[in-house]
Amino acid sequence: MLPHWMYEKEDYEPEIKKGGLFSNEKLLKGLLSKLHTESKVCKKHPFHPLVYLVNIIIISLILCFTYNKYVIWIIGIYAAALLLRVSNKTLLKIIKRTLGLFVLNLVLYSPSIILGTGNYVFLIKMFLLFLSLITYASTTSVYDFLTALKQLHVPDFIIFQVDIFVKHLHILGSFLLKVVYAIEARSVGSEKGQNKLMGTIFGNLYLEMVKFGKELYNALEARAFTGKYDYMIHKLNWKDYTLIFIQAVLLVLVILIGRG
Amino acid sequence: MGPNGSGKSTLFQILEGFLKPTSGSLEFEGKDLQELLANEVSKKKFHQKVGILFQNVDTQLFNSTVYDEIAFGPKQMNLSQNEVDQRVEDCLNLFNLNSMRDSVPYNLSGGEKREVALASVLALNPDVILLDEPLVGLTRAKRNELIELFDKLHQAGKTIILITHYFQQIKDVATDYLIFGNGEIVKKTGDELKADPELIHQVEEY
Amino acid sequence: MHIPENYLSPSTCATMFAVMAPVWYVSAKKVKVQIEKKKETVVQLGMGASLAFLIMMFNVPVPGGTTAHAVGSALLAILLGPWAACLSVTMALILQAFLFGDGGILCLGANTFNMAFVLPFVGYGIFLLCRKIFKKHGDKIGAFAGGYIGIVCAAFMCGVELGIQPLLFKNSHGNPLYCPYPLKISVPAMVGAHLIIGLIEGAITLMVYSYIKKVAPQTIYHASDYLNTEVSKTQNSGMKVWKKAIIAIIAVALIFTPLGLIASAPAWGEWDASGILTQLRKYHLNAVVPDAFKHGQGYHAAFDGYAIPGMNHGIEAAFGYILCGITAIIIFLLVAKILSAFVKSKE
Repeated sequence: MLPHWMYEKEDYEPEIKKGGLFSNEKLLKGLLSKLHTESKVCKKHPFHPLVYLVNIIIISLILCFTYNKYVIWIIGIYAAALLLRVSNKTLLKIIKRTLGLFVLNLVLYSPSIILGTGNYVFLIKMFLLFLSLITYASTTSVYDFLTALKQLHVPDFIIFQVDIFVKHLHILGSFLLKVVYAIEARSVGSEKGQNKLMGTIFGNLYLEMVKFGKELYNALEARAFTGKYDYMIHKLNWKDYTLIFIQAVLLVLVILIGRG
Repeated sequence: MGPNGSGKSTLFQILEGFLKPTSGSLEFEGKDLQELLANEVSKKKFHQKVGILFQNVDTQLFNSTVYDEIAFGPKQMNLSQNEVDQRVEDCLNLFNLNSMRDSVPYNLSGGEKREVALASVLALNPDVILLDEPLVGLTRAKRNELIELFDKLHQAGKTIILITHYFQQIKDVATDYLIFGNGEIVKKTGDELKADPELIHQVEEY
Repeated sequence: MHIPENYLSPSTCATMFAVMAPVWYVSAKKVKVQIEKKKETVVQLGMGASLAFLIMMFNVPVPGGTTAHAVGSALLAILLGPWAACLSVTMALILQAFLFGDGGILCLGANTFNMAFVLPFVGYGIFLLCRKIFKKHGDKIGAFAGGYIGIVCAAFMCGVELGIQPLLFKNSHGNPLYCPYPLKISVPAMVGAHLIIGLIEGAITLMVYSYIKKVAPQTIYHASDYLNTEVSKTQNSGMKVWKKAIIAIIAVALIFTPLGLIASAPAWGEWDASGILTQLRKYHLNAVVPDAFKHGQGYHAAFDGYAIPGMNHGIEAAFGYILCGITAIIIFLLVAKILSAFVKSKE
């Protein structure tokens, strides 16, 4: 026989007190979809990974060093030109993210502008820095990044770890998302006890990590994994040479203008 | 029932409100589901009325003791402490889990975890229970026990929706079937299914 | 406490990378020992990195209905060991920057210093100290204190890194080139905010540690496991567990390093005296210009021809940082040796 209350209908007014845990659903879904769709976006923008990586580093360095208006202008044009090759949908995403970050930092920086020690050029530089980095992040796939690392002669062991990192970001990320769903499915009233769950939420995530670690290790052992990574070597094409040429010109210009 | 990858779990996620369908609409108790979910109060009540047990049990145990796990739902339903304790006791008794009241859910065996998860959903006293593969990993005897419990819950007025591959074991208690396959979903009552040996054969394949 | 791009000058960024290079090297060596002993931990670096990443992005519900973010490095240091935690958090930060555009790439040196070095090592050191000092529940007190004090120290370092920018790197008008907020603002702001945020970090560290201790204590890192492996025997014989507490002391030393730099700054003679005065006046501080600065005027005029200010005297600044850092570390290693001898005699 079932307990008597299972034969009755529930009648209660849920107390609405928000806890904030479920905002993570959107975050995690975004993360998982980013990991998922990366490769699709990036097949359309095949720069040589190392050249592209060096490109973003050079842009960041130049922007950080310079306060010369012309240099910043040229970099701005360059960053915008790189954006032209991106699909419209991705472009929208990039602009949205850049603006979001920029507004946040604008708020952070504004007190100094009000007090008079601020610098409008600083804001322009910041915007261009965000734009360039987010463009790079949105148009590079994980494996392109790994290829770039490999060609920088980063040890295979580190590449192995980054590979595991990204794969488990997906696995552990979905696990975490499902946990948040499960909590939401049983959150039928006030959410005030949510912070007490953090111990078990992260704790179980760690335990899953340990469990997967053992399984992964056993699987690798069983397949005689040696830790060597043989990535396809990108052949430099005309697009890459153009990029390298532009980078060289930029560097020369920066030094010349800088001196003058 | 249906082959792997045919969208059964996805349908459950849509029914519970975690995924939005790309087209079409859903109604629960005569009201549009998306509208119910848009309002905080009706959303919470919806979650109380529609309980779900996912396939991966580890994701559904997020408290540090079995007692806390089962009490998680009832505590939010404006019940007195005594009533909450009573519900937890009843649920523990239902599955013979009394000795594990203070155990950590993560350390239990697979079958015990599933029972604790089911107990915590039942403690909410939902009207509809969605179960994604609840019979996996259990002995035949345990499976029969569970199916008997589902039948009792059904007799008590609850709607049970089950994703399972164990057609033979549920065919005597199931009233309706949703059969996934070939890109479509087909609804058949128990009698209709019994009258169609070809369909039975197809379902047994699943 | 991720520092955004462009808030740190290139020379500061370079210095922080230089400071982190030996840290990464030592961590890699130590993790190698861990892997030799327990082969299955070979995958833990990458997995720890994904855990660190998820913890950093997660909205933690806090009393009051809002959410906050934890960093989690102290927790990872307790669970995986400080060396693995350092490398995992570094990897998470690097990938956050390059693949998600979160956080700057040039200031990775500084961000990893704060979150992958100061936080986990100070946190772990405090954890060990508390375990030693408090006989009952020492580990739980240590978990909370480690997370709390660790993040406050990291915030302090962050505040210092930001705060010295306007003092050292200004253009000819006296306007700051990078972070515009001086020490008097950045340090109290960072530390003040983290005196509250630290409660969350401490709470998360404590809650997760207590849960794991209850459920699967065998998965927690124990330094004593790695003492007698073949590799460790040749590397550093007789390394005691509690010596990790010394790392906390070293981290504190590095915290005081930049303050030492400020004190010895007049030696560089490159500060714009009137600029300092304006700054000081703006923040209502005593407008006293140190005598040494009066000579600075001449130097400053010489730099007006260069359009990349901050670079030339920045190299000197970088050397200054590194020398002071090394000095501080050596002093504190000596102090630590004395302390260890003292404690040893007590045991």
